[in-house]
Formats: sequence, structure tokens, C-alpha cells
Amino acid sequence: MSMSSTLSNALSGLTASSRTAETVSSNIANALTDGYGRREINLSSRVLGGQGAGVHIDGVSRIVDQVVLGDRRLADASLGASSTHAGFLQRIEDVIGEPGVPGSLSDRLAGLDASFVEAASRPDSEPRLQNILRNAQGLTDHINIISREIQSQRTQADQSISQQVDLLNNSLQQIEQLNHTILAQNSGGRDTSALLDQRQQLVDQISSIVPVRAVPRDRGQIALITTGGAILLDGRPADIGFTSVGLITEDMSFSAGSLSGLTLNGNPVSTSGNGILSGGSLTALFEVRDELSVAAQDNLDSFARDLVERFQNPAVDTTLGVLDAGIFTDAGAFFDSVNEAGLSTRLSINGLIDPLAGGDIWRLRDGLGAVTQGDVGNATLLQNLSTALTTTQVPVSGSITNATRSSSGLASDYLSAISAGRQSAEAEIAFSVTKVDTLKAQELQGGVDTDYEMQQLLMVEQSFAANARVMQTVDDLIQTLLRM
Amino acid sequence: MTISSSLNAGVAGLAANATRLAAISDNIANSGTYGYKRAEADFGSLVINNNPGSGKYSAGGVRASTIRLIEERGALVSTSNAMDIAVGGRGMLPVTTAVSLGNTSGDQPLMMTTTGSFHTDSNGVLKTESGLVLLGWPAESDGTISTYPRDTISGLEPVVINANQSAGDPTTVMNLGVNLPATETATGSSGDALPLSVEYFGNLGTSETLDISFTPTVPGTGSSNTWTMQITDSAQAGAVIGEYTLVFDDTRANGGTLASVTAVSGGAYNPADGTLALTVDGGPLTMTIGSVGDPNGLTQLSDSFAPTSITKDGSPVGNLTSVEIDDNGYISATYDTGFIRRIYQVPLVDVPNTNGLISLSNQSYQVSPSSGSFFLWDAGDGPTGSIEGYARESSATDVAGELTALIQTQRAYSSNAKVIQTVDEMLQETTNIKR
Repeated sequence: MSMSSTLSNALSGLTASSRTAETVSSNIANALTDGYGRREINLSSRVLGGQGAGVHIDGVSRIVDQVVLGDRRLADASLGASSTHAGFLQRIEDVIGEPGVPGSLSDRLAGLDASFVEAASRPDSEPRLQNILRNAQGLTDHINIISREIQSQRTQADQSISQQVDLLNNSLQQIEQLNHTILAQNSGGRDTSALLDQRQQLVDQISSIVPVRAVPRDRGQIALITTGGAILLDGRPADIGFTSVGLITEDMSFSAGSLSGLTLNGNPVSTSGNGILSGGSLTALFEVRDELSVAAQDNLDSFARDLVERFQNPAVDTTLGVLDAGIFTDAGAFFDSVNEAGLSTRLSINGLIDPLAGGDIWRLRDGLGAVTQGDVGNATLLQNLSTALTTTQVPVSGSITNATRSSSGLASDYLSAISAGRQSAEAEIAFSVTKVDTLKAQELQGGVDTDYEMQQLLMVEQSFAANARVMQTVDDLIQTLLRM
Repeated sequence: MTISSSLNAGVAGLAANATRLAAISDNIANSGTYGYKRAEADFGSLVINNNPGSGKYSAGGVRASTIRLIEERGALVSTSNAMDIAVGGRGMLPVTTAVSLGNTSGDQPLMMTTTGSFHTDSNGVLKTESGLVLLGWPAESDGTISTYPRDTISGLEPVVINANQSAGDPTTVMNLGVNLPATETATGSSGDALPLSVEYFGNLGTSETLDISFTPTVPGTGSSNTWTMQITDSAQAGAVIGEYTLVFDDTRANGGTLASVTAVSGGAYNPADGTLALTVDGGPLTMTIGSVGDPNGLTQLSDSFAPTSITKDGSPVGNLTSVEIDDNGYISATYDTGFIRRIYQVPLVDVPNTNGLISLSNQSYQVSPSSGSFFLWDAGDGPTGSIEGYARESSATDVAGELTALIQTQRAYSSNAKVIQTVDEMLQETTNIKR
């Protein structure tokens, strides 16, 4: 009977309208939600037995620009990498201190130099000799602090790697589960948009750690592959292995085997800047741990060695034997050049000149090897010491510079190298941020447009009313029939 | 006597119209019954005196006969149950009674219906609330339907769906689309193997992996464009199931595509379709790596290792999530792993004279001598229409038409009553002649 078909058609129209309203309301409610993909309802005319039978809801499609999304994730990864670099270099730069700032490395060197000159003008003044000692101690303390900071940054990097690897493994497992749920829901013919949102957020979460591309697989699943070609998830999630250590010291290194590298499903993979997992904050942290901080430590050791050897020189202080320590010592003893690694941590003042350690302050004037006090007016050694600090020479080790430098020149070169690295990393950040922002804006352009949704809502209202009107008309028709 | 024949004709008219009223009332009562076929009362006149010249006329009256218009079809309306089945066209669904399922002797009776809302009972048997059990031909484990006789119901079985049923689907075909970095075969590169592991599903639905490693051959000078591909199977404790030497083309026309594949060990390479005949733990597995010159299989371009296009069949063990019927009457079970398996085929029963079927309760019908013998068709084949899931056939009753007929019947009934009253009055007149 055609009237019952009419009723059934109108009913399907009512259902379609209310489902559309549901979709529109979900879009409007999530207009500000991050990672929400706009939903659109797909309708088609229903055919039963070759005859039209109302409207059919084919499903809900989630609209996301996969290309922009993929590019934004890669930009996230490069932002993650450059901010990790910049963060480390900034920290070291802050600890070294900028020239001119009281308490900075170059300020302390300048202070030491000035105190030598001051003491040379009045060699008999004990307060001026004390001043040399104070400045020398300040300098060694400062170098110790920088060295410890470098190592603590390495420890932090190691722990961050461990956290990021955990996050990565957990997220991959969650994405795998979501993949399964989406598959099950899909095969049951249910709407999976909310699960897709959730999965997108999880992928976003790991995209700053490693640069991943989401490759679509059968039946709504995705595989995750890094730009280097490592399969992080394809059916089963990859297992990324890493073992962190509690504390890192100067002599521990990845190359020596005392620090852990990365494994992918049990196979070791390269942690360098061109390995298969490279490009995000994970390998940037390895770079901090194994390259940047190692270089910073080596150069600091080289600076410390240069400082020690300037004073541990019988030509400067004639009372010193060939194997006697100068003002600056390797943990209180003579510095042997084979022990350069970690010198900056062990750097200390010779106890012979420190009254607190049972030494005598006059040895600064008369020589560290002097047995008795000499002439209080003799400024020769003090002048020699001052000259030793300011003489330009080529540093024996390290990669700070190959030119002749005074100690303070070397310190400022050391700082400049780190600052230059930090500035280039910051320039990279600026580039990555712009890229992320641009892509994010493009992503949002494809998102919920509330004006459009409102227009949809008006249409839904009209269509609902029209379908209801049809039902009412059928009712009226039957009433008419019954009144006959 | 003519006057008494009028009385008889009037009474016959009352009886005939009462029959028609009964048919109408049944139709209206079942105007909301899915699959209901309209009953129609047909009147035939009876002639007693067949001699036109006699000058007398004897009213023969009327005789009512009823017929059920089984061929007439109601409109299909959509529902939300996947197992609400209707037939869009000729043909009926084969069903039997629930009570006959327990029969130990004899066949189950074949009944037919045009639509039904089937649900599984506690034993997984698909049946309607009225007790009609859907019949179908069971599929083999690979989803094909064997050939069954089409003029008897001997092959038909009640459709049973076990909701807690699990099924797995082993992987037999895999397509490997991977780009290898050309720069790795240049002199001076590291020569490190590139790892790739691909999941596949064993015969028992277990998840196994094929670990594939690509090792570049690094020459002293230039680029070798040569790789060694080694495939190991996790199900065989990492045994090597194939090793191949791949040489890539570096000419302008076919740059980056396969130039030659040489099997070192394991299954042979078929150059015609670009497949490797591997043997994994559970049996043969065909891996497509592309034929020589094919840009869609393994390629060697630029500097990126991109395993982006790997497809395979098979699925892990899944639980049944839904059962649906398609146009051709195939009942398919969908598992939560996305695996879809055909489990039954429901044929359509067709008889030469549909209106000759015996009508039974619950809109079911049975073959009778006047309907002719039945034949089981694949839905959509021959004269039959398609099977529609998520649909019911609405009642064929047209309420407006029935109400109109009701008015006519009422008028006809009262007219017949008037005839009887008139005859009565006329007889009264005759009786009154003698006081």
C-alpha cells in the first residue's frame, strides 16, 4: 500500500535528519577540540527490490587533509629536534655566563688577571695575595660547576631518552589496540570517527619524538613508518629498547659501551643523525648525550689543561720541579697530560698556597716550591704569573681554536662556539615553528566551520519539519477515509 | 416458484456478502501484518432456468468463492535488523516449522514465506517469532557452495549461527612494495643490512612474522645496484626460507626497477608475474615482488628506504560480530578482525502457479497440486527477484480499497435484506387475500 510506503519514507527522512543534526551538533561542540576531524554524514537514496524506499544513511565520513597532517607531523619532529639542541646549548651557555656579567667565566679570568697585577704592585700586601687565591678558587669552582652541569645534562638527556622510549612504546601499543578496535567497529558497520580522532592524537604525540608517516592499510588500519624507513607499527608494534643509567660521568660514553644505544625489535639501530629513527627529539637527545655534551666537555677539559699548564711550568715559577703541580692542580696533584679527560671536574687549587689547607699564602710571591719566605718586595713571580695567564699560545688539545689565544681569549672562544651552536639551533626553531604554525593553520582551515554547520542545522530543521508534515498528511488522509 | 427463488437469491446474496465482509475484515485486520497477502471474495451467479422462452425466471442467486492473491506483492519497507529478509520480486524463502526440527524420522516440511524477521534462538537457529525456521545450503569452509539438487529440499538445512564462533584466515598472498635506497649500493657506503618485518597469519590464526633483510653489495668503484634479500620465518625458529640476489636497472628508461632476480635458495622466482613461491610453516605463500621492469614492486630509487606498500590477505582469529544477507541470498558472517566468511546460501523457491499455494498461518505457504512443483533458484536468477536484508514486505492490503469495498458490501447486504423484506411483504399480501 502506497500510504504505508509514504509513512516509511517519511520515517527514514526523519531518521536521516536527526542523524545529521547529531553530526552537526558533534561538529559544533568540538569546534575548538584539537585533533578533531570534521564529520560529514553521507546519504543516498535507498532502493528495495528495485523501488525507491526513502533515504539511506551510508555512514559518517571524517574529513582530514592527510597531506597537511603528515607534513605537520614531520615539522613537529624537526621542531622537537631543534628545541632539544637549543635547550642544551642554552643551558651550558647560561652556566658559562656571558662576558661582562659578574660571575661569568671570562669575568672570573679577568678578575684573576687583575688580582695578579694588583699584587705585583704591592707584593708585600697579604690581602692582595689573598685576593689572588680567592679569584683562583672562584675560577676553579666555576669550571667544576660547568663540567658538572654538562654531565648532569647528559644524565638528563639519558633519562629523557628513557622516558621518550617508554612513551613511544606505550603509544605504539595503544595505537595497535585502537587499530584493532577500529577494525572491529568497522566490520560491525559502526561509526569509528571518535576512535580515529583518538588515534590521530596518539600519533601526534609520538610525531615530535620520531618523524613518522602514517600509511593507510586495509580496513581503516594504519601503519607507522619513520622517514628513515623503520617500521614502528604494521600489524604489530615495534619494540624499542633502551636502558638508562643512574648517573653519567665524563668517562662514560656510548662508544665505550657504558651507555645504551637503541634497539628496534632487539636489533641495534643507529642513534646518529642519519639513522632510521633520526629526525625527532629522540635522536636529538642522543646527539646531546653523545656528541654535543662530549664535545663541550672535551673543550672544557682542553681549556682547563691550557690553564693548568700555564702555571705548572718551571719557567714561570723557578721553584717548581718538572713533576710539581702549579697553582691549578689535577685534584691537588701534578697534572699529567694523559689524564686530560675529566680534568675540569677535578681542577682544584694547590694546597700549598691555601692557608685553610695548611699552606702559606706567601708562596704565591716566593714560589710554590720555596721552603722559606723570601723578600716581601719581590714581585718577579707575580709578574711572571700575570704574564703566564695572558700569554697567547695555541691550545694543545681540543677543538676550540687552532690560533694563539690567551686564557681569557680561549674562554671566550669556547663560549662563542657554544653560543653559535645555540643561535643556529634557535634559527632552526624559528623555521620549524613557522612551518608548524603554517601547517597547523592549514589543518584548522579544513576543520569545523561553525557558519557552515549552522547553515546545515537550518537545512536539517526544514527537512525534519517537511518529513513530519508528510506524516501528518498521511494521517489526515486516513482520517478522511475513516470519516466516509 | 419465482417468488420463493427470489427469497433464496436474497438469502444467497446475504451469505455471499457476509463472506466478502469476512474477507474484507481479515484484510483490514492484517493491514499491518508484514507479508500478508490479500484475500478476495469473488462472486459467481447461479442460473437455474436456462430456458429463455418459458416466460418465467427463477433467481439462481449468487455463490461466493474466495481466493488469496499470493502473487500480489506489498511494498518493501526498511528495518534495522540485518536478518529482516524480504524478497524483491518473484520467489519465496524456504522455511520449515520450529517443531519439526526435533523430528527424528521423516523430512521437515517445506514451507515458504515472502518475508520474515529472523533472530537466533538459544541454539543459534535463525527463526521468526512465529516459529518459522530459515533454510539454506551450508557453505564449505572456504566459502564456496557445493552443488545441491534444486528440485528437492534434501540439501537444505536450518540456518544455524553460533555467535561465539571464531574463525581465522591464513595469509597466502603478500605484496611487497618497497623502495630500497640506491645510494647504499654506491662505493663507500656502510653496507648495513636494512631490516623489514612483515606480519602474517598462520593456519591457526597465529601472528607470525617474515623477517626480510636487504643487504647491499658495496663495490670498490661505482654502484653495484645489487642487493641480497634474505627471508626468514618466525614460525620456523628464524629459518631462512628464501634468499635472492636482486639487481636493479640503472638505464634511463627503466631506472630503479628490477633488472634480474636470482634465487640463491628457497622458492623459485616466477618472472612472468613477479612472484616468489615461498613455503612458510603452514604451507605455500605467494609473495609478489614485481616482475622485471615493473615500477610497482621492489624499486631502488634515491636514498630512502620506504616500505610503504605492503599488502597481504589473511586475518587473526576473530569473533563473530554480525551476520548479513546479500542480494543473492548469501549469508555472510563478519568477524571483528574484518574477515568476512560466507556461511550459507538461501535459495528462492518458485512454483509455476503461486496463487495455487496452500495458505497457512503466519503468512506461510505450502506446495499444492494446483501450484505445481517447486524449484530452488539462486536469488536473482531466472524468474526470481533479489533477496533484501534490512527489509520487510508490508501487507498487501490497501485500506482505502478495503474501506471502499466495505461500503459496497454494506450496500449490497442491505439491498439483499431489502429483497427478503420485499418478498416477505409480498407473501404477506398473498396471505392477506384470504381473510
